[in-house]
Amino acid sequence: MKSTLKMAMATALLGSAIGLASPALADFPEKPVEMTILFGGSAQTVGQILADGMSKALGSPVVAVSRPGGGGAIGYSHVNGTDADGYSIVWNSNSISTVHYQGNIPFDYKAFAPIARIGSEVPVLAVSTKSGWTDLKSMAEAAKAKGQPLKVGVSGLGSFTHLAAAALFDKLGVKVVYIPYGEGRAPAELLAGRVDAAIQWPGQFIPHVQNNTIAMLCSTGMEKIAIEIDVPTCHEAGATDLNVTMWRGLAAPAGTPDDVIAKLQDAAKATVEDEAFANAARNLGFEPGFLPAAEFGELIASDDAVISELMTTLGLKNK
Amino acid sequence: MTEVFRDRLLGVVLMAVAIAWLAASRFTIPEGYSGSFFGPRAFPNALGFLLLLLSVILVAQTFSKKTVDDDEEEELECKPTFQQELWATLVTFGFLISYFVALPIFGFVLTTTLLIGIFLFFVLRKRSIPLIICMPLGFSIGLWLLMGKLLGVHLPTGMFSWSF
Amino acid sequence: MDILLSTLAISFAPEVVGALLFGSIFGLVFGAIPGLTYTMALALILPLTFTLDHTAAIAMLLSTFIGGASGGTVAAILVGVPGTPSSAATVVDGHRLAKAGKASLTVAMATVVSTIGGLFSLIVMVFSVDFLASVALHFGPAEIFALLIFGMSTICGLAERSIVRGLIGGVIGLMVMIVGQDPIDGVSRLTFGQVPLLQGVELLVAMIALFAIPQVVEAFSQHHSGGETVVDPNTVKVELPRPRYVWGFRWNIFRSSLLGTVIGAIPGTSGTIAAFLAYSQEKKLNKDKVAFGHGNMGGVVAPETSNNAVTGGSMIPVLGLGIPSDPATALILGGLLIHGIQPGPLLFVENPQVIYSIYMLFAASYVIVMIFMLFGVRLFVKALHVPHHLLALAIMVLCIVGSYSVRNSMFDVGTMIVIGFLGYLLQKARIPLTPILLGLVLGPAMEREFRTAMIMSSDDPSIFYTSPTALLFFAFAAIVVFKHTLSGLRSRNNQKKEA
Repeated sequence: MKSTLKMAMATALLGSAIGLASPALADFPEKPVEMTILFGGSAQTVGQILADGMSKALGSPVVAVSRPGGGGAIGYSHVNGTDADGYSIVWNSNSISTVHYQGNIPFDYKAFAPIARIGSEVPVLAVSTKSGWTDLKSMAEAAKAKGQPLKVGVSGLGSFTHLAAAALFDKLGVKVVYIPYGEGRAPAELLAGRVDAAIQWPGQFIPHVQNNTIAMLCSTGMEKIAIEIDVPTCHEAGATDLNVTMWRGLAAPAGTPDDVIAKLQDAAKATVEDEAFANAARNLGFEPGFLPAAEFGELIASDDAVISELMTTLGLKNK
Repeated sequence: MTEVFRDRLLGVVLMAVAIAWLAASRFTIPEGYSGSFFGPRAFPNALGFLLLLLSVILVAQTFSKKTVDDDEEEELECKPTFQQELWATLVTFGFLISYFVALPIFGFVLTTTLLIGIFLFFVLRKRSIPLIICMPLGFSIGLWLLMGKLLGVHLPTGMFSWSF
Repeated sequence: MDILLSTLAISFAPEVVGALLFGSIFGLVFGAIPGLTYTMALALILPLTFTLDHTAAIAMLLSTFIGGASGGTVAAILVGVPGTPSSAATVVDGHRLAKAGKASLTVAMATVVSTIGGLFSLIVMVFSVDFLASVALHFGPAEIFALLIFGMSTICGLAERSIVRGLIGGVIGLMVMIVGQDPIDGVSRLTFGQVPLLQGVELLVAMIALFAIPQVVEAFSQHHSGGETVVDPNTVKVELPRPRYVWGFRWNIFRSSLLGTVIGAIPGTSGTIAAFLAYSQEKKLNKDKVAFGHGNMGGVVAPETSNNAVTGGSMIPVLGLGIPSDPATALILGGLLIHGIQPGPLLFVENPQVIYSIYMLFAASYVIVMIFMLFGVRLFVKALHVPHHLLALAIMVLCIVGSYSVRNSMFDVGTMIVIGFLGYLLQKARIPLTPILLGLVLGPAMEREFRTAMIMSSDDPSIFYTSPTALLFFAFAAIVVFKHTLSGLRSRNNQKKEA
């Protein structure tokens, strides 16, 4: 046990060491890299494991620092204000687009240089098994027959799950009232019958699906989600061409030198390809999937356009 | 300053705050998207009105109530005078504000050492050498080790590469 | 029986005991320092548990959680600055008792009743996890809103001089929390285009400012006027409560434990509400000569028992449903998930061993934390020997560090100074500070639940009066307000007669 504890302590020290780190190295990194984390919950947990892994890959500490608030606005503004030297990076996501179009930050994704995509999360549509709905079509028909709008739980108005839900129900032509819950409460609200359906990350539904109280009808991405339960994509289930996926990755302020970006990208790649990281991330409902800087940049730009359009149709756009 | 006067002053200040608050809520908060009548503006408005109402009651009470129960004003034998209280307020906020300004520039360790030292010597007029040396260093290095190193809490590092 | 024995063997392997000790101390330190909380401790310790095997990981998470939930008491009693919001209710009587020379007895008593509260909640959890989890499910936005209104009604009991002043405090607290991003629509409110203001005022930062800054000013003005009370080291006795003394509070402990456990199980509520509700409930039932608020031990026992009973209560929806009830349990859930443990109804059927080890480690954590605390009492009371003006200087530094580290933001340090100044002015104007804190704690949740309920019912208010649970809590709140108004009027009449 001593050795484990020592190891734990060593990791703590490594993860937190400030200043004076390996002064012998002439080039990047000469001091700890600060990784700003924007959200709590599984995003924070995965971010911290990632920082831990990258510290090992870089041979120099990567410190995860939490700067939550404003739907990501606080953390993005902080990193945007730092020097473009690679010592301050952000654990980003599609939120860079949502927070910009909500009008909460004056800059957009172009203020950041992409480093690498780490992976993605795909929301699923879930209903209570008591509803008797077994697939997307039966739900859509029942909702239309009822004549009343469907109550659908999402994380918050303007949040990613709201956008995914809006895209889906728009395709189905079903009238919906969105009930904004915090992230963790969707299963409880479904089980208690206070909402008809919920769009949330799949992880929290798994125990209830296994217990046969909740059913996942479809996932909003083009590819099937990699969990032990078979969930069709919404595209297959009747909402043709629906493709809404949340990516998470790393970015630095625009203007960061290319060789610095390359080093960070390689460290991220080594971490994502590590089996232990991948397993832990999957257990948290996060699907690891590395993309290099250039391709990641294209993805960010194309998603930004999609989100802009979605938010305009939803009347959520303030920018 | 009598009790009645102070309450009236407080009431008037709170009324002004409530009115400014209501105006700011009315003109700067957007309507929201939920479609519900109770949008982003509902709570700020309700609270503004509530504060207005309460401050009116507070002022009204100063006219109706004759005696104000001062049962346990202060249990201290020698109550500080207004000047002494003012001095205490000035040194407290002076210290806090200098710290706030210096922290992002010099980083945690340097700021803490210097400011505690200065405060002990010039403000509290301590002349005991061990105290003036040990307390600033003990605090800055002790907290830096405890928070930064052992607990893994991030501390401000300052603008220079040599400050930590 | 076999499974219990094998679980016992696994649960107390040396590695696991090491993790328990480390987690307890880590949590205690975080709890004790104002501005650092167990939520932060859990976030920081999570990557460490990643490398451990799953029993040791559970041990480390639970002991950090429990240590953090217990550590806040020390600063609340000794210096009058709560280490965590849930120990704010303890300050009222606890700090007075400490000033009256009963510091060690009070801290030790708080420790003992915390442990009892925690273990009580564990027993409830073991025997009624299914039942309470289904009760928790029953709490939707309307019911939680009603419960929060009930929590808010305790302001009447905290406002010593006049209910109007207490309510003004409460409203100011609620107003402070409005600034920032709207919790439902995501629009910015009263930020005037300033991005840093979007994050709003952090509860912990406001709490530190309200409790610590006025005290610091007072200490310096006492020092300057030469009226500083010097504590004679010989008068600070280290005294521990005898079992008979604790037994004298058995009904208080029982009621407060029950209340804490149930509140803990309900999502969206917290230890702070439980502590204030327990305090106000026991204040009404108090038969002692010393009134609550004037240094009554019952005023320490009630909040401390219930805020620790919350720990077991909040684990109930996590284990029973896989649903976290607050950010801290969300992190514990994350820690379990990393190790492939999926809490929920099936865990009890498929992997009961994990459940048993969680129960055992939960109990063990409480015992270890209690032992640490009781030994620590000797050390803690040394803080009372430090002259007040030096302590005040130290508190100022801790306030800065604490408010910075909550969100790693200088903005929060500035907020702390501004709110500290406002708090000081308000205290001078005789606005009680505790109701402000209650407003800060309950404000965001109250608004979110109310508006969610209204969106859900399409603006039909019947959602509040068709739910029996909601009606029950509204009735409780009405009774509290009514009783206090009545007793307020009565005491004023008595004064008039005497005059």
